[in-house]
Amino acid sequence: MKRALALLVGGVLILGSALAAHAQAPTVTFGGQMRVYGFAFDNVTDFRDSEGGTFRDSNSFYFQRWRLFTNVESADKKAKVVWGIEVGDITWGSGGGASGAEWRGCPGSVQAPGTPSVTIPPPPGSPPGTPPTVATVTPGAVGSGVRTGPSSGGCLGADGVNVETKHAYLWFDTGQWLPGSSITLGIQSIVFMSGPLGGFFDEDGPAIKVNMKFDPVDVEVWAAKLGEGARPNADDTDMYVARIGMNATKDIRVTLEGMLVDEKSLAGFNLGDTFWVGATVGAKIGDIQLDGAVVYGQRSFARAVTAGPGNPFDESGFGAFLEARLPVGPLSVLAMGWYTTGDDTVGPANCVPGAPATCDSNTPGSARTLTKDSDKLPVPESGASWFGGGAPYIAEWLLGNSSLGAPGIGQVHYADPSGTYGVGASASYALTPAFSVGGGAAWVGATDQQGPYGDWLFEIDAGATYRFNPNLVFNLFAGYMIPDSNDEAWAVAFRTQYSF
Amino acid sequence: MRPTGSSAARGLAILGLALAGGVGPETCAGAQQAAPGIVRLALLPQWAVQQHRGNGGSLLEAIDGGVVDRTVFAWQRGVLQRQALVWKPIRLLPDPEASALGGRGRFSLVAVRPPVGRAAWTEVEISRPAPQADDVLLLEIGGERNTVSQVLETLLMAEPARGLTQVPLARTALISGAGVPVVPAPFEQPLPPTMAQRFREDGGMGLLVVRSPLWDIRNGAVTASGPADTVPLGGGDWREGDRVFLRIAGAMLERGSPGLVLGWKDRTLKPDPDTEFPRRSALPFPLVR
Repeated sequence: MKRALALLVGGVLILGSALAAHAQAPTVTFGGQMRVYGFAFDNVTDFRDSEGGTFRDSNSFYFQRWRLFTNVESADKKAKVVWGIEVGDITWGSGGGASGAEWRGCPGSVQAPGTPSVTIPPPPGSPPGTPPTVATVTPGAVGSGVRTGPSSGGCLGADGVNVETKHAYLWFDTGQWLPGSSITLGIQSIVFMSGPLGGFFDEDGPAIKVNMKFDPVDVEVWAAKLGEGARPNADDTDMYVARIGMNATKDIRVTLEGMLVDEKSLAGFNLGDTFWVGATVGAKIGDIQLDGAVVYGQRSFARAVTAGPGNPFDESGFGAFLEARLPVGPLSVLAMGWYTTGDDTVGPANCVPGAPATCDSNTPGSARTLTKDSDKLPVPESGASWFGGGAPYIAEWLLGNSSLGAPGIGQVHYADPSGTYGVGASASYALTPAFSVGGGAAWVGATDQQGPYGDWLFEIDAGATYRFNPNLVFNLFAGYMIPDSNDEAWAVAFRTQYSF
Repeated sequence: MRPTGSSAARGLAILGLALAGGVGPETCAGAQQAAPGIVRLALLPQWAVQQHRGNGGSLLEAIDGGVVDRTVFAWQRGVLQRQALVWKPIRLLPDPEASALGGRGRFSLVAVRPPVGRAAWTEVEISRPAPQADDVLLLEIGGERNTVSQVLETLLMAEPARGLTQVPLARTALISGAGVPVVPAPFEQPLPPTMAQRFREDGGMGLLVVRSPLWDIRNGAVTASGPADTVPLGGGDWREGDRVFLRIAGAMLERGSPGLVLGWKDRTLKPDPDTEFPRRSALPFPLVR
């Protein structure tokens, strides 16, 4: 009996010590950014001076964004969860507030600026391919009490109910099963064909991602759910991406990448109708850093009503860019060129022929229709392709302000930038370890059908960056655009960003 | 802003001592203790290396005696701005981490003396309580979470009578190149014993650079201080700083190892295009004229 009791006690002690060893608390860390922007601009969206109450896109405003990432990591560092929240983008004087009715001009959140309409998906049971309904939103009551929803609370009193979930995912190290591997599950960053200009497709979404690193080769595969339709699987939309990367030499890295979208919700769609494939290369030759990429894409779009019944039309084309970064004396110089195929029926910013061309970059990709097959490089979503942002000081006000975090302020070209080619060069000079100035120029041409600026546009940019401390950075940034047709445009902005 | 002068010295010394894992009792060792050895490190922003590009002599002069307490502009060679000097944690690897990477014997970290006065050298003083002929020291520099200066871009060696010589860095590749290997390994975790074979011997010491297994794009961004790497994926991994491992034989430590100049550049998070911001051009009426 005593022996059995001793064994029991011993067993409990051993088990207890084992449990104690595994009962260490997870580590919680935080990261994120707080940004405040200010913008003033004229004509950057339509390249037309105001005329009798139309073409009025002179504007100035502020907005802010707060992102907080909470990482909870297990004691053995083999698993963690990440929750990323976002408050914003709050446009100052917009979105209602606790005291918003004290003064006129504070719209409530139901009439957030720029959302005069909403897209209502087809009701359950609708035939595949049924287009969504677009309804106009009735302007809401002035401010007070109307402050619930994304980006709300920018008026007097603030108190917006406005926290969004940006990321929420689980990561765990699967190295014990396959050395160098890990899995990420949940709402997270999903990127296809990234490079120094950003990703060709760069989004956040619900996905399962598997990473494997067998140095010098790495593999990433992920599947994302873009649409869970009303029917079991029959009208879902899924995205599948694979990337194989390799360090060929210590200074050369290449990747091969593919993205397949199964858009079953589109009537007449077959698997393989929508895909992108491409390759990237990064090479360092002496002091020169070269980066390039090429992509071929094909995407199915519904037929326009005027085209009559039949299968969807395809938009298919290719694009490529080459970029060089090199030191020239005290300057950091960047030069780049790009080409993306266009079509005679649709140009950048979804412009269609006319005098002037009519552009509509606000129609979501899935709601676009075609009257025939198109040769324009398709983009997977609004703002996609490497040129939804651009490079430092290179046509940034046309392409989307990469130096400022690519916020986009309504530039129609930013939403749909393919169908162009261009060249540009810029230089930055770090005067001190904390202060640099820079500038650049770029020439952008429409490959086929005109863009909102006509056949071409010339832009010059300049700016300054000051690092107050390792966390806080100030940017000042300006640009001037000369379009082929219509009127010139200018813009200036500042950004204050705290990163941690 | 970073503290300077005596408060900076005190801060870094405290940091260094705090990171000297498991070395307390050895500091009081007896008469067999060998004379302390000094490892000299110059932790610079890559900006300072660029500033002296093509003129290693003036960089060495600046490190030896050119630190000033004022703003330094790009065209002013031979001087370094104290406020721009980089701070890194320095850690003496305890067992079993050290022995897994080839470390042997007992060492203790006596002091980390940050740059004071005109010199940019950080001096790491190491003692050997019970010296043996085959002692091997393992030091780790870096490995902190930071928003700047995460990436080791330049490694220079300062040897008497030779001045500064560049030691190339070599990312692991199919066709491997000569240089100090830059290898991926999980952040904040001990290196596996297989890494012991990856050290490159140069100047009488073993060198290895360890980077978080990020897919980063070299010189894909520009910050206030010049070219920077960029990471395309979100989350906080972009802040994870490189770790530099030094493996030095006890005898070499006693003779005096070469000084190391480490040039650090920034890594940024590539912001994703975010179309959440309202498209004001879509408004049916102008908000502001």
